[in-house]
Amino acid sequence: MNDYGIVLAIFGAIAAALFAGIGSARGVGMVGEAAAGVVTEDPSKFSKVLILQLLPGTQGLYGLLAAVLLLSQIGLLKGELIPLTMAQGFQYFIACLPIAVVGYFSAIAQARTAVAGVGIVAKRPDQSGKAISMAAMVETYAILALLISILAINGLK
Amino acid sequence: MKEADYAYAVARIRANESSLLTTADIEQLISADNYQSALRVLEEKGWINAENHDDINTALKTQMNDTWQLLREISPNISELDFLVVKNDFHNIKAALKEFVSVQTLRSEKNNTDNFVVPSSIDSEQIKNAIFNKKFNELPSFAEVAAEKTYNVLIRSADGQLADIMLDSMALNATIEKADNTKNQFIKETAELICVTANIKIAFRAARAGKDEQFLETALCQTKTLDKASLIDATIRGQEELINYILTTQYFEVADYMKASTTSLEKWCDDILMLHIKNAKYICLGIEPIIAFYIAKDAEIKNVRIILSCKHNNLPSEAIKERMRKLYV
Repeated sequence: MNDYGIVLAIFGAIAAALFAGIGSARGVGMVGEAAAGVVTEDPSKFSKVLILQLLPGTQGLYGLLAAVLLLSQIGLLKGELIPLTMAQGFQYFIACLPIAVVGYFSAIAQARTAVAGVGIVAKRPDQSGKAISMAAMVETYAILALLISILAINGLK
Repeated sequence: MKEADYAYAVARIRANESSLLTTADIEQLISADNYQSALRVLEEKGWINAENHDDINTALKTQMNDTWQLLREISPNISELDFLVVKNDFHNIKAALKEFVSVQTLRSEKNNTDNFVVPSSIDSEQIKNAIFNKKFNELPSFAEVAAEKTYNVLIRSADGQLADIMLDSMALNATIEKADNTKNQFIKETAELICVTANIKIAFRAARAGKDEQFLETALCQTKTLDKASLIDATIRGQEELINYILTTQYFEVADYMKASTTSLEKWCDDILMLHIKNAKYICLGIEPIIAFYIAKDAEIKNVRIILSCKHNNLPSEAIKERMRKLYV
């Protein structure tokens, strides 16, 4: 039974890193394509569009952070696995869901906002600060999800 | 195509939109003292260079062709945009047929490229060779049928006007067909609007000229939002009846422009299309901004052509302003 608990907890860590990572990869790729379009026409706008491209990448880092925290808590990183019941493993799995799910969707949503921001940079480069602020607003919800996941993982000690 | 596939294309379009003429630029052109001053303004905007002053038509053609080349380069699927240029293919079939007839009857040279328009989805040389060698099957299917049908009409009846009308109507039908094939709602609506406005213009001119039902049956295309049979019925009963019929349709606002003049009707037809595409300014992913850019460039070139033509004929600024189409930016 203890093995199943560990398996569920590891699934949670994998979900956090996987879904948030996929969301970020898709998001950074999408903004990157748009950024390349602007740089093709005007290479001097590279630095402005690069900031926008980086923004959807943070969700992947948040997923990684939650995963590392969980793996460290169950002793996997030290090579000393703590025995977990099925219920405990399931609790760890559930604790990872906020950053896994919100991370994925917020990265895509942020990417779309950043692509719109790339359009602003293309036409009105002097307004790039506003484009970055608008895209950064989406980050709030990824941070909230990360916070809940971290509190839940830590609370399960 | 998923809308995210257009990220690169839309970004390049946004960057290019800043090169479109603004209202201030158009005002500057209108207020130019004369034709030569207007050309100098265009030169400042990078539209033409000093060598183009004598051949402004080629310069404007190049502008449109460059726009199409840009769209070809950036579009994930260029065939989705074919509905925008298919009318030029039919125009080129018309030009090739006329050249063929003049070569046959007047023994003139076979190298008159002035009548061919760009951009087009089929190379004009390919159309010319297919018609001169009667190898219509070398053309894409939509052009093959059109070329063969009108070729036969021209050879058997020598009725150039009928051939022209048939080709114009087939061009409109092909526009709708190509748009329907894309399954994209914005493209379908744009094509519908292009064809409805063309039908209204044809019906208006036909009502004035007292054309019969057979002419209208050939000249008008089938659209979803403006019933062809009712339009024909109203048109053969005269201009008043046509306007009364239009008032009962969703295009009722054009009635006032039809009452005013042909010029204002033409302007409304272009402006309604511009109003339709303006929403594309707020779409960041999708094909809409690409289509809108092409139509915007087309309207811009039309405006420049009108200004230059009016300046050439020394028309006052007020007369030019009346004719100006709405801009995208």
